[in-house]
Amino acid sequence: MTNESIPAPATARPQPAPAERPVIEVRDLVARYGEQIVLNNVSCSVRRGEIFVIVGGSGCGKTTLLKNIIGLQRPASGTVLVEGEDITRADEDQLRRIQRKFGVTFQTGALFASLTLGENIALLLEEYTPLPRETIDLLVRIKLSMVKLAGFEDFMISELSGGMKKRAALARAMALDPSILFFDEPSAGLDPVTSAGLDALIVQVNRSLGTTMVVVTHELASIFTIADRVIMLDGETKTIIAEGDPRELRDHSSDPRVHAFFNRKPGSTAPGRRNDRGDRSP
Amino acid sequence: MSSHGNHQPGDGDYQLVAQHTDGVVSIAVRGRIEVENAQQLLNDIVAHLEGRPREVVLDLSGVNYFDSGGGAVLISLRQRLAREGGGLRIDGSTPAIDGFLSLVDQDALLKPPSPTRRPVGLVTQIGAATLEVLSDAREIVAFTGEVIVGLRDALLHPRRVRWRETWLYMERAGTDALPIVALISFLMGLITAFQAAVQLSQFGADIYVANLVGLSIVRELGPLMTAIIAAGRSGAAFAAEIGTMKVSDEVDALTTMGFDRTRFLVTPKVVALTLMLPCLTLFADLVGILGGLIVSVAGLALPAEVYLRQTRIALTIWDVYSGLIKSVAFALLVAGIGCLRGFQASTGAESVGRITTSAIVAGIFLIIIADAVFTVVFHYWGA
Repeated sequence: MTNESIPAPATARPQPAPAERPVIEVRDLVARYGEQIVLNNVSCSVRRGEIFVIVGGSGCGKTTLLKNIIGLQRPASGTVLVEGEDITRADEDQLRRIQRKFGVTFQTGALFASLTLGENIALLLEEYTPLPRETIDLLVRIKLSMVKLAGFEDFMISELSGGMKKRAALARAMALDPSILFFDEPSAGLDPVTSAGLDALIVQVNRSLGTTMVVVTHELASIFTIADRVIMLDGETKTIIAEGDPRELRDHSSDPRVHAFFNRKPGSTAPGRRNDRGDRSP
Repeated sequence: MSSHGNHQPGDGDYQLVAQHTDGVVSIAVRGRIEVENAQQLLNDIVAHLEGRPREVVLDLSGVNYFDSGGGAVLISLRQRLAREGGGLRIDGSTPAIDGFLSLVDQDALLKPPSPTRRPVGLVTQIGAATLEVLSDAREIVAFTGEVIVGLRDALLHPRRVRWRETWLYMERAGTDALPIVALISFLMGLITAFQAAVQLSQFGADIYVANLVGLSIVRELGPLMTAIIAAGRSGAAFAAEIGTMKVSDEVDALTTMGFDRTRFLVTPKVVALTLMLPCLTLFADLVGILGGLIVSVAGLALPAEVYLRQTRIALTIWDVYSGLIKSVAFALLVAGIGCLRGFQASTGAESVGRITTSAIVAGIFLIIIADAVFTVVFHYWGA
């Protein structure tokens, strides 16, 4: 196979058929910590192949919404349908099966420090596929080359820089070819150049593989670069106050909170209060 | 020369048609190419490559699902043909295949992994281990100095001690340990009494079970077992707590705020354990004697008051003191090594696990060494 035989990357944004069923549907979701309501009647849907971004001020419940969608937390009420299956009512086996469709990258990377980078990715392939060692090693190198980390498979996690860890986490999340990728604050703690590189990689993976992506972030530069569609959560009303194209919202939203957020002006959102679980809630 | 073959594996979700024409093998694959059937497909394709074809032409236009498994097949095939002097051409593709291949840096895959560390010889390893031991010894000496200064400050200025934290650690290391200390001590007394009774009853010396249990529990087993429990509970907890704080930069934050890490993190723990371990030891002594008493009353038909009177005759107040003196030393060692190992954490969860294990092992080791030293010193002291 020569380089000439490799076609140019697909750059066109995947356009879902209008009638196609959403990949993820959140209906009337209520999340609470104890008596404190964090999300109140939140409803939204994610279309196949899009980059869907959840934005909002600190402590408005973005991560709580993400954790409810991926089944790490159960809501007080409401449903979350992932490719038609209700994750909120799934038993342990069903939950595990649904979660096999996901890849998740966490804010801190959450790579296993006791393993090498290659072992972090191989772990999933060893557990969930019948492949021989040689093919697993090749797949590990393929995944690492996708995130520009080819050749680093024998490095320990502590030997990687912050940006490399984020890319490594993406490679691990992609290990089993998930149809949906979730990102919790992918740019947190990165310098602008590294952050822009990661944004470009996220978009490239999305355009090339058509993977549906749900991203939680409040980094404006990232939002404008990667988002096909955003929802904005509000810490006071505990619900969605805006939905649509981020540029449209920036330029044309009449809601002062939305306008202030997307134009980086002070006083846009109410900060959340830290609850006893260490999370932030409104 | 040309040949034509049609292969349709029974268990795969793909169909493969191969055609040989003048050193070129044309293979058309239809259906799904995924991780689950990738190895089977690769084997099927390789089976058509006899005679070292100069080119393989793959028609993948009929592939309706393609994931990393398919990517691995294409890249393996390319690498194999390159080794044998052949080439691979994809003639007919799908957007999924194009997208996948556009992401993979195929040239980078051919390079060997970057070496992270060179192999080291035996002499170098011995040298490195020696330096590590020396460095650890230096850290222990420096840290011991820090703790001594911290305790001196605590004695000279008791109001500067962070008593709120100290009370908390006293509760965790002391009160919370009562059930396990009670259980272990009771069983130790019980076992010692059983073993002694079997031997002594042969000589009609049942009453001396009280002497044996009392002396061994109060002088040796009580302080030792309590200290070993403290190493497993409190020493490990101190190491894990400080280690996690170190990993999450909380120790650095304290330092940059101008706080003395010893006063904030070490002194409360050392003071708490030093105050609580003698109390636990005393408690262990009493429960251990109770264990012996129950065996003697139930198994040897000795009246309880006779057993207790014999215990009082056997024990002197110095026996109790010597156990308590030991327990103070054990507390300093367990708390000190726990805190030191905590500060030696580097990065990540694995490091915290390692230093916690080390805190327990080193704690028990130091307890045994100190016990041996005390035994010799007390012997020559005539106690």
